[in-house]
Amino acid sequence: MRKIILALLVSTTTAGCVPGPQPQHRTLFDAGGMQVISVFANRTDKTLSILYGDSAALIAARSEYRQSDKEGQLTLVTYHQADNRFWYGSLVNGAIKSVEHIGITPEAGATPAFAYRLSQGQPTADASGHMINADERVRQILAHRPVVFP
Amino acid sequence: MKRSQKRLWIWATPIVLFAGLQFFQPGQTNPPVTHPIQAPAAVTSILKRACYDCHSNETRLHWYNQVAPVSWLVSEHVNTGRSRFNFSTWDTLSPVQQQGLLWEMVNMVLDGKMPLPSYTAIHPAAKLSQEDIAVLKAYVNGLSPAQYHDTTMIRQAAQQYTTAGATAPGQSKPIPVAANGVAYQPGFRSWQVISTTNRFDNNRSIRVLYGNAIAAAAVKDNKINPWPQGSVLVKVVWDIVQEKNGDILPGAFNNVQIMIKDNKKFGASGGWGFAKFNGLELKPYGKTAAFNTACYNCHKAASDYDYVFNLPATQ
Ligand code: HEC
Ligand code: HEC
Repeated sequence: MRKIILALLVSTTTAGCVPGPQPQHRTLFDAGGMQVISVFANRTDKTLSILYGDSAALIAARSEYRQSDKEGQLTLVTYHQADNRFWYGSLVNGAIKSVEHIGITPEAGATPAFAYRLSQGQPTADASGHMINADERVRQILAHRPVVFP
Repeated sequence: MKRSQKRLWIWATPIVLFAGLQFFQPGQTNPPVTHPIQAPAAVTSILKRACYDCHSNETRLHWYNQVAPVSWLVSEHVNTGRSRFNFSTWDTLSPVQQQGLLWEMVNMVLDGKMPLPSYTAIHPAAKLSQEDIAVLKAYVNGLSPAQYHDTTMIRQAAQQYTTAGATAPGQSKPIPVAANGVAYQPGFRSWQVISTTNRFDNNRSIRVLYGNAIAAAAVKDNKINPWPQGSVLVKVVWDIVQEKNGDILPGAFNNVQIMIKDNKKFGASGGWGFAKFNGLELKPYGKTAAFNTACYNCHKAASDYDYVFNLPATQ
């Protein structure tokens, strides 16, 4: 009896919470079968980044890109940081800011060759606003050691 | 029955019933205050005003709360509120538990879930102002300050990286299972990435959230209210190394957390089965299946998205 009356009371106090109109789509970045190599962020730039690689790049990453037997591909997706709607204390990725690619080509008896390409967004600038050239950008991206997965 | 008699009954029945209800009183009592929360007065005065009626042993009972059936509802709220956390026995919790709860409090307040809206409707003075919320935010931020270039974290990450590299990825290891039956998901690295997050609360870390094919399709079509049966979410958590220039770099792998949508098995927790596996040995968190409720209770803050927090923005 008490439970029934309570249920009635509760249902009358919570009724009327109808959710608002729902948006139609959410875009997820399609990494085309590549896997996460590393993840990092910058609170000053307000960005969150995920570095993906194909199987050859995953292996090359373990040698800090000093060795590679096969052509490989890295993709760095950088997102604008957004507040988490439901949690003050967590920052989540918002819209994509840039997408950069590095092609890895093996070189006999030497470190591999790297080819940089920006497919979305603006070239990266340093803290004083100077454009970072492709070689320097490659060096920055490759400096991200792979994260450990279980 | 005469007309006047009938009218009398129409009037008398509810009154008699109402009077009768009063014999069923929950007998709300205030147990002793043994270990009250220690915090700046600006903080405790807000908590006392807005939360103590249900989350402490200093419940103030107003006359209208002592009349059934309202008293039953009040009693249910007080008993549930105290069972979740109690400011009067606060120091029996570990500092880690206290910090976690305080951040949860700020978020429950920001989401309009606490104090209970049914309570503020009767006690408007318990509503928190923007200034109150700013005081609570500043307090929790102060409890969890950033540590720049934390050498312990850097050392731990380097050590884990070297040892993990030396051993082959453990494909042959048995798959760990949590006490509620939710198993670890070994294949998640080839799933769709749903989002990435960086936390600056008591859980400073960086995370990647993966979804299986069912979950990823549901996110793309925004059919996540509720999430479809069979959705699986896997979140990988790494420590962080924070630098003064704003860099947040991943540290050691910390844990994997899982949510599995199975309405039959986990109907009592919104259809979600939760699990957490700690460290590279993937030690299941929770001695008994009861841990599932604690996960669910905090995820109620995201009830608008069927208890999932981390969604990418819509288009
Ligand atoms: C009228 C009673 C009432 C008041 C006042 C109240 N609460 Fe609650 N609180 C509850 C109940 C009942 C629950 C359990 C709700 C549920 O799980 O659906 C709860 C749950 C919570 C939780 C979730 C705990 C968990 O188990 O994870 C938090 C956090 C919380 N309250 C914070 C607050 C804060 C902060 C205030 C004051 C600003 C407050 N509450 C005021 C009744 C109350
Ligand atoms: C104190 C609150 C709290 C508790 C308790 C909690 N979570 Fe969460 N959980 C969060 C928040 C906040 C997020 C989103 C922020 C983030 O991960 O960066 C989250 C995210 C998650 C996600 C990713 C999906 C999503 O909702 O975004 C999983 C999976 C998850 N939690 C599992 C668990 C498990 C398993 C437990 C219990 C062992 C648990 N959680 C307990 C607050 C909590």
